[in-house]
Amino acid sequence: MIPVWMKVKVKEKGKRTVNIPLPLFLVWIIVFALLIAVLPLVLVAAILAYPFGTSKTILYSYFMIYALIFSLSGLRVNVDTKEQDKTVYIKIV
Amino acid sequence: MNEERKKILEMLSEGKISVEEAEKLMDAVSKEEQESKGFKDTSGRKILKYLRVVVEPKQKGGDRVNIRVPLNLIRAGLKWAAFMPKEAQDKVDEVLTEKGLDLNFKNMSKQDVEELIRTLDDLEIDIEGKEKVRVYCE
Repeated sequence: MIPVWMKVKVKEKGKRTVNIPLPLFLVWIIVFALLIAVLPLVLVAAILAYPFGTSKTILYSYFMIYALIFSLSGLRVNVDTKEQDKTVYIKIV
Repeated sequence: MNEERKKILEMLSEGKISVEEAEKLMDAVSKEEQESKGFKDTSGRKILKYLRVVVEPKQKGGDRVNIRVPLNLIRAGLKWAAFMPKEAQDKVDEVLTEKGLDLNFKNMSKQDVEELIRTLDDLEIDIEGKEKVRVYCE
């Protein structure tokens, strides 16, 4: 499933907790529009690179961007620093 | 039979709940059980979804890190690595061989990637030093 939100939470002792939900679905609209716009160039590059044997790499790399975007869902990073009494929490849902 | 199921049946026999209510509760219990056990594939092995890296300080006052990486992301990365240009691949192989790792991403097939992910089922690394590092899959 495509990730739709990225939640960033920063908690620091004595300060207000910062809780930012970033709407990734808005980012994906721009990213996918760019990816579609770039597709003809990728195809041309793949055709030009065919004699050198790297066309497969170019095409595969292009489609791997989609695969990476779709597999980001569920990523979580939680860092708790005791020295600064700060907790950073990033969650992609 | 677990305690929750026994309780539901007892409540049903005592007439505290109706058959429909008991059925709903039983469904909820079995769903909960399945979630706690994790989903299994056809061969009966647990389907792994995430790679966890947990760093905990041994003494009070240290930093804590807790990372959960979806295995699909690792899977995609490994597949991508197989399509690295030859020059870059040679350099990576050279460095890996220097470090004593005999890994060849170029010859890694889709089945090899799946096998590698499947073997992560048994993976559990505990490193004890200043911090306790745990790497495992769930």
